[in-house]
Order: sequence, then C-alpha cells, then structure tokens
Amino acid sequence: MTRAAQRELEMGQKISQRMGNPEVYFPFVALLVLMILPFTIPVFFVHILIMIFLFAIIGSAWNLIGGYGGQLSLGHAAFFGIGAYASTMLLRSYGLTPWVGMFIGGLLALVMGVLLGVICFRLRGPYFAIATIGLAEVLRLLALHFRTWTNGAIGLTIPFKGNAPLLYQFSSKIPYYFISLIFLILTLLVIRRVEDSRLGNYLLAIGQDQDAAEAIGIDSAKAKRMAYYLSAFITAVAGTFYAQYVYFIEPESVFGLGLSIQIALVAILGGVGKVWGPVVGAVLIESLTQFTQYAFAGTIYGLEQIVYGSLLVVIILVRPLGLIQWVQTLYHRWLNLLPGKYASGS
Amino acid sequence: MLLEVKNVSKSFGGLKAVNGLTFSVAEGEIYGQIGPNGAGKTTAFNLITGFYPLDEGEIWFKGENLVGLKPFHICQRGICRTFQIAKPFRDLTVLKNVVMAAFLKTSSSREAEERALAALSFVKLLDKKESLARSLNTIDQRRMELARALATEPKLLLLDEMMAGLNPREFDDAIDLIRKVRTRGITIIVVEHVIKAILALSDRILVIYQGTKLAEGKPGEVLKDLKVIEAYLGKGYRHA
Repeated sequence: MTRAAQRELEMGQKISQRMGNPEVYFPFVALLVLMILPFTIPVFFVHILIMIFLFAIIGSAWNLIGGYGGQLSLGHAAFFGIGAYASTMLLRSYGLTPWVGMFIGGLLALVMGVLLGVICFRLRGPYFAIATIGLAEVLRLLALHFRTWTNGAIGLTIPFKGNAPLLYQFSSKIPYYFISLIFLILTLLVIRRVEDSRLGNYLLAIGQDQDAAEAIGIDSAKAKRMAYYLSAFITAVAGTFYAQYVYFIEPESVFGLGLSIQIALVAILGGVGKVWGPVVGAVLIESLTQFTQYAFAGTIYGLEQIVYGSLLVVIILVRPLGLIQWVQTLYHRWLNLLPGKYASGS
Repeated sequence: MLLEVKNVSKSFGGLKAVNGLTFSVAEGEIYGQIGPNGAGKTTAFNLITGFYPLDEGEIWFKGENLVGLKPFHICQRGICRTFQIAKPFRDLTVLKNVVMAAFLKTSSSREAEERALAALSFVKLLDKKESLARSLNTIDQRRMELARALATEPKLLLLDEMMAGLNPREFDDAIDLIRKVRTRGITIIVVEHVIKAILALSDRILVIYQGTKLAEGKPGEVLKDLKVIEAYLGKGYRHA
C-alpha cells in the first residue's frame, strides 16, 4: 500500500469514527428531520414552527447584548419595527424587493443602534432598560403619527402578488419555513462565533462587573456598541421576514412594548448567555402560548392568559437560570441512549 | 520617573479626600503607601487609574499625561490595579477570569488562554482554574486578581490592600509573590494598612494623612518620624 493510500484510509477511519459519535451525527439527523418535517405535518404546526424559529432568531439577537453583555434591553421592538416598516414601505412606494429592503432595514436599525447606543450606554442597570423602552415607544408613536407614510394605526398591508419568490412572497408556508430555518442556523453560527471571540468574552466580563472589566483594559462602551449593532441588524432582518410572512404590520404589533418583553422573555426563560438558550425559550414560549390558547380559549374570558402567565412564573421560580441547563442534561442523556460511542464529559 | 503625580486634588462634596498630593515612582521600585483610615490612599489609586476624574493636578506616566483618560485607556497604557474588595467575575471560572485580561494583548482565543495559564501558574492557582470565581477563599481571590492584572502585562501594578484578612502563613506567601512580581520588571505601588507588610516590601514609603503627603522616604526612617507616630496614634504616644 502506498503511503498516500494509507493516509487516506486513516483519514477515512477517523471520519467514520467521528461520525460514530452521537454528539457528531445527531445534529445532522435532527437537521434532516427538520427538512422533512414540514411536508408531513399539518400547516398549522408548520406555522408554529416558523414562529418558534422567528422568536429564536430575535431572542438570540437580544441575547448578544442582554445575555452576554448583561444589558437588559426592553426596546428591541424598535429594531424589529424598523426592519418591518423599512422593507414594507420600500416595497409599497418603490416596488423594491424585500430581499434588498431587508438589508436596508438592517442598516437603518444599525444607524438607530448607534443613536440609541450614544444615549443609552451612559446608563447602567434599570436606567438603561427604561431608556430602551422609551426609545422604542418614541418610534411607535412616530409610526402612529406620520400617517401619510405609515398609515398610522391602520397599518400597512403588503400588496399580494401570489407566488413571487423574487418579491419574498410565497403562496405556501413551506418556503417561509425554510427561510426562517436557514436564517436561524446562520444566526446561531454567528452567535457561536462571537461567543468564542474576544468580543464575546468582553461582553461576558462586562455583564459580570463593568468596573473590573474596565480595570483590565476592556473598553466596555465599545464592546456593548458592537454587540448592539449586530443585535439590531439581525432583529431588523427578522422584522422584514415577519412583515413578508404575515402580510400586515401596524405600530403596536411591531414596535409595541409587548413584543419587546416577549423578545427578552424568550432569552431569559431559555437561559441567557448561552447559544441555545433562546432557542429553548422560543420552543417553550410558543408551545405554551399555543397550548393555553387551545386548551382554555373560549371557556372563561382571559383564562388562557392567566394560565400562560402563571406557568411562566412557575418556570422562572423552578429554573431561575433558564431551562437551558436542564435541557442540556436531558440532551446528553439522550445522546447516551443513541448507538455509537459517546463519552458524556460535561 | 515612571509615574509622576503632581499636585493632585479631589473633593467629595465638602471633603477634600486628596489635597495637593505629589509623589513620583521610579521604574523597578516597590513604593509603599500608608496612612490612617480615610487618609486618601484608595482615592489616590482611583485617580491614577482613572476611576475618578481629578479636580486639579496632573498625572504623568512614561511621559504622557493621564488626566482625562478612562480606566481602560490607562490599563492599555500599562497601569493595572487590583481592588481593595476583590472584584472577580463571579459566575465565570478562574481561567476565564484571567483570559479576559489576557485578551488585552492578543485577539486570539488560544493565545489568550495560554497567557492566562502562565499567569495562573505564576500565582500558583493552576489547580483551581476550573473552579468558579465565587467559590474561592480570600487568598485565592487575591491570587486570581493578581493573575488577572499580570495577564494585561502591566508596567506598573497598583495593589490595593492585598494583605487584608490574610492569616500569617498566607501573609508570608503574598509577600513572596509580590517580590517575585517585581523580578519580572514590574514596578509596584502597594497600599497597605498592615505596616509589617509595607516594611517588608517597600523600597520607599509615602505616608498620606488627610489627603496630603506627611512624610516620604526609606521605611525605617519614615516610621521614626514623630509626625507619623502622631498621625497614627495621637500626641500622647510620642515616645512609643
């Protein structure tokens, strides 16, 4: 056997050995299942999955600044709304495809992030949170006020063109499913990249103790700004997706405080400062919402919201650090059940 | 002179915490600062490291005026400090705590980790690198703070009450450690309450009292100074 052939054989063995590890192969299996799933389940469940992906994306974006950086933002709807309104207005007025409008919205959100950053990052703790609420509310009120452009409280509908992929429009939910899935995977890859980088480390340090971070040479304002810009951009792009998916936006639904809180909740309930935290949180919140609606709506008025709220309280009491650690333990146990060699180190 | 503090003042409300303080530190020396409670030692540290803006005066480091710079700027220029009350990143591991500091001189995660491990090995904390910072006892927290400061590769190190709360054995270890830091070519300013520590370490001492310089010089001479004895113990102990 030549040396090259031998090396090739060894490589092949190494790869097959690695592929025999459930930790390596299971994600591929899971991805495959996610690819097949939308074709086999009722449309309603496809919709739920899309909403889970959407909230996992925004929750992950929030996690950058709110989780890693420890800066409680309660105004992320600002960026979501900018993304939704920018692409929709450009489409309605100039016929610009949202595939491009999405990036313009992202850049606008980034510019808004610069402005908010200048104002808000002087503030710490609860004061920062209040400032972010205020600024998102200002944008909501502006959207209500400039009726000639935004239609005010009536909202904007996206002109329906049937199945028009170039205009980010599809007659079936399945393309939306795949767009949101790919977008989520990209977002998670970006977050993971950031987590390993100097920026991710600096954010963690700042989240722990800003004075100590500055004392070891960390420019905390700069690190927070970088995270904020990235977070704003991703959130805005998700806003465009939302507008294209539901065909209708109005100030309350895309700029409202309720949405901002929902975004923060997804990350907090899932587990802040962890890549998979917001994904777990999105699964939890979306399924909880749907379940309580299904089980209690139409019985006593508002009962579903009472049950939903109470369940959230119970969860945060039982798992104050989020569900992610518990889910991780379950995941490792599950990997152990799968065939193949898997040493559960941690 | 590596560091020159010129006529620096800082008031909090009506209280002049530091009042026209002047001193300078030469490269390679260990410079001790003592003084009774509230004399302005920690305030002086906070002024040098940029944590408080100063009201008056100038602070020169390697020929550059530090006034107006932020703490992280000052750290980037080579002055690093520890805190009187340790400020660990509590929920992170010891290693991660030090890695954060090592990132100042490199953007590569791997290199930052290597440097952090070297710093931890220097302060003899390598065996606890995977522990959470909040689980450390006092001496180990101080070691970690020192490792964190060293990982930024400072020229000048400011140690604020490193010895407080240590038992005699830990005390001796800490003294050895600080001496070892100096052999790496790092200039050190120590603020201490414990006179014994200052005597054991310092080449020169500055006695601060009510925000100003009361005395400065070699440890043995300064402590014989009558004014110093009075400031510490009151007039009745002049013959102590």
